[in-house]
Amino acid sequence: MVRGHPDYLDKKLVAELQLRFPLTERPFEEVGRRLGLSEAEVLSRTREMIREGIVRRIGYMAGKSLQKMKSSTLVGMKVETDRADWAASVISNYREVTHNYLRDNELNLWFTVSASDRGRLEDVVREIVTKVRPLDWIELPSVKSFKLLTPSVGISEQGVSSLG
Amino acid sequence: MADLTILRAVEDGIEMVPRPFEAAAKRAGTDEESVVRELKTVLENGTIRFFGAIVDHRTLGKLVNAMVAWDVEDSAVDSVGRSFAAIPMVSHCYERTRVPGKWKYNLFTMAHAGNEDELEAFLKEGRRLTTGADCIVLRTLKEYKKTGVKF
Repeated sequence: MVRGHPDYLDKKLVAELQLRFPLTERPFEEVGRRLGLSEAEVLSRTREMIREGIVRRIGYMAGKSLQKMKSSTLVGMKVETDRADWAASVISNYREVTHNYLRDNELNLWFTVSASDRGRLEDVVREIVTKVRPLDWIELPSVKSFKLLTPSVGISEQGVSSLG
Repeated sequence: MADLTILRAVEDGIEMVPRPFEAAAKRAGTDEESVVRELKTVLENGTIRFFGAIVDHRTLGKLVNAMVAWDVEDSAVDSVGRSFAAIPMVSHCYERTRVPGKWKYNLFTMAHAGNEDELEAFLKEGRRLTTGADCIVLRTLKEYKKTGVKF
């Protein structure tokens, strides 16, 4: 069934999948039990929300110890407007690139790179610069993190209630 | 440090099948029970801080997304950074190095607003927190990629 918007059950389903995801052999069956849905229905609704981009994935967010295994940096590049989409596809192709956006600034492409060590990070940035040939670019390594995306941001009851 | 084989098997998200951890176990060369046990362990010990559905801010009705960078005095970065972190609309807040002559903004806030008025209210609050620091607003025009870090 094709649905235009997430409905009330979807909102409840998102909340369960986010905030109380069961680490068990059959997690979707368990979530279905809580909501009075079959496992098949939970799966089809979740698939649909992934397809629509409401749910990115069902997975993990790294804790501090894992993050410390990585060096990361932010790069801003100035690329001709008519080359931006092409340049972005070159950049996104690197698995070390985690975020990549077009922004309304002279430096129009902004992406983050995360690698297992500083050397690999520098190699990736250098390779991208060589391929993309930006008109200008800057690299801004992070010094300190005050806030990381947490499951309660945008996933709060308020966030969930703004669905649809 | 934990063996990352199992985390790598689920880094792009689990499959939408009745037994997703069995599928992940095949990729990791282990069994379903070990995957479930390992994920519980790494969640408890803080190697991962979350397991579940990762939801997109933007699709949740946040139409105006911007990276706002502030030129904050070095001595004030800690306290201002913590204040920004307490604002619900801010998903990420980082101090980054400046590039002399090219980029003076050192405190980065990722703001997710429902409309331009909400973003304006955030900027006003930011000016108050930073006692009038210069800032630059870089709105998201297009998202090319957004994934988790690969280990």
